[in-house]
Amino acid sequence: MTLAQQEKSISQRVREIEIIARRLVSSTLAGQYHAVFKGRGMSFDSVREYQPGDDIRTIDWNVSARTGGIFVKQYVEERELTVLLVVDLSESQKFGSKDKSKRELAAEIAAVLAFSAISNNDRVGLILYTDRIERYIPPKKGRGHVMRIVQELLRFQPAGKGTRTDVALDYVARIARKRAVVFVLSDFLGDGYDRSLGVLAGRHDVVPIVTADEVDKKWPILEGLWLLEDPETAEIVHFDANNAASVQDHWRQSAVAERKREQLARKFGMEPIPATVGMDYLKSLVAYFRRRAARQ
Amino acid sequence: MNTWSFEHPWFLLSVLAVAAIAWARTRARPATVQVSSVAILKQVKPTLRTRLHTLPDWLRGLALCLLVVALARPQQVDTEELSAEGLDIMIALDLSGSMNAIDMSDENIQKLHDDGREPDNRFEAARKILKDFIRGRKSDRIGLVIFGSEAYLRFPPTLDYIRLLNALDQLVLDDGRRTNNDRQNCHNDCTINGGGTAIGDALNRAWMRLDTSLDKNKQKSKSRSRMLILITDGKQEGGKLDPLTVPKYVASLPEKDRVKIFTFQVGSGKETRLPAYDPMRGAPIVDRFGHTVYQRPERPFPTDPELLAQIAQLTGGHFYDSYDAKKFANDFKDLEKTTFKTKVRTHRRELFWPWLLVGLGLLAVEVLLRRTWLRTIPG
Repeated sequence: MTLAQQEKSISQRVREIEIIARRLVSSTLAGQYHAVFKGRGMSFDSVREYQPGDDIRTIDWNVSARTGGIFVKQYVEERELTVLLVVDLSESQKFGSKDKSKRELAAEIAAVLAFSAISNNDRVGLILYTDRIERYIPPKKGRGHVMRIVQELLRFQPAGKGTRTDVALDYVARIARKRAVVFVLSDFLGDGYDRSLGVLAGRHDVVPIVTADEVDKKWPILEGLWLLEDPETAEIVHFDANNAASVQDHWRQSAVAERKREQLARKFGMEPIPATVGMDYLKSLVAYFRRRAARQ
Repeated sequence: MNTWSFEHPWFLLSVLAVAAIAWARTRARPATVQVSSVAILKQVKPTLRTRLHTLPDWLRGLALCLLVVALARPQQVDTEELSAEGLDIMIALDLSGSMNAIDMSDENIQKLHDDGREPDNRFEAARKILKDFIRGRKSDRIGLVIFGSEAYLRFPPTLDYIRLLNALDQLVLDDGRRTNNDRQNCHNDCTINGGGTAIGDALNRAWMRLDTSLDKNKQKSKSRSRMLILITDGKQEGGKLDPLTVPKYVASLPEKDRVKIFTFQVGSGKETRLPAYDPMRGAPIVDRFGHTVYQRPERPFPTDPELLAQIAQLTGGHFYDSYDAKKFANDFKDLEKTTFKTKVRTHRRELFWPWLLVGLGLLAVEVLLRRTWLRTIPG
């Protein structure tokens, strides 16, 4: 595939994702996002003449006395919400055993969230990271901005290979002054981010979205002596898939690791959203929104 | 004696090539399947197969090493001294009176005396060397001719070394001062009139004995190689035959019948001493420490190295100018080395087959394992 073709396919993909995301936002997710991520309190907007049916408690007496008419105060909901999408671009995210990689899945979900945010008139920012901060796009509004974010998500070539989720989370804590909604899209396969996650969760609304592939959890029925390589450390491991005990052991251990991650998230009052390649991530998104709305 | 050796030891250097291949293989990254992370896979309990995944590599390395060894052709070399084809050796030993001389300077004699030893005269030195020589032989028939003013056969060629050594031990040098009583006490022809050096007669006796020494089948010993060793310190004196008669005759024989004559001229050096003799008591003079007293001879002993060299040259032997005891011993060693060391047969048994077969077998096992039980994905 030449560079031009690649460019074209990425543009196409951006377009596709925009369409998918918009459709989702206007249908499946319509209102869900809005209902869940509300602003904090109301702000004064203007005064208008009293009309029958208005709550007399809203009458602005000072203005009424000065003008001679009866005026009521009008408030608007404070919507200026900041959404930060923190996306893991490390090598492990490139893995995909089915139709797409975890990175593509993360890009798709991030795009849907970005479009949801923009339709709510929220500001959206993007942070791409590997073992360092690869790219930071400050939060802004507008469709053009979202398109830029989607393009970055698909096109960006990271320089790093490893995963340092703690670095990314610390960075977010440093740059986000106002309370923000932080979606962290990563496979969370590394560790050492507990403290950073706790600190960030204390000030912001952190939502981990755990991208995963079936193979990460359970070895498929593919027998043989496999030579498997870690894309980040280049470590090579022999895995005997003919051995039922080995496959079982792998499955059990990855389940344990997953449970640990979940416990960690819950400790900080977060609810991780699972997103597995090949499964309908919308379902888990919607389910999450519902649960969250019910809680409020 | 059997030893191991390689016919082409240089091929062993190919082990370096094997090492280079092994090194390259450890550095080359195999084809792999990338997954998200091996952190958990790494912790999975290893199975027999994952443990043995390097086995084919080791097998191949081992097999290549074995093949390299096979390539170098290991051989078992049996060197065998031939027992069937021994030599017939006649030794003609000069027993003339001058053989009791000592070829040594006064200082060296003094040194030996200080050590409490008596120096060996020419005869004793020759006796010791001959005894060593005989003990070192296995399958050569050795005979002994002694000569002075006449020559006679002391022992025909024999394999019975014990008796030959005995005869050597019993030899007594006739220094011309022996009494008749002494002569009578000496049974069994242990000495000879020392008043002459009949080289020609001695060669003749020895040659006749070699030429007619019979084996069990009453055949002449011509089938065996023969040699003649002449040890003398003087010049032809007395005797009936010209010393060159026998060499000339031998030289005229066809190649296969010839006998090499090796000649030793002992005591041609400048320093020559004789034991002082007390004519009154009829015994050697001894000083107060009990050491024999030596003196310079009144006139130098006549020698004839040219004659000996000629004898050796005529018969294809070698002339050794053994001017003193030390040189004599060395010369005799030299003779032994050049004449006898070639008489060994080496059997070479090829030993590369087991190496080759085991090497190929291991290669087959390796390929089989790689293709079947230990086949990895991706291959």
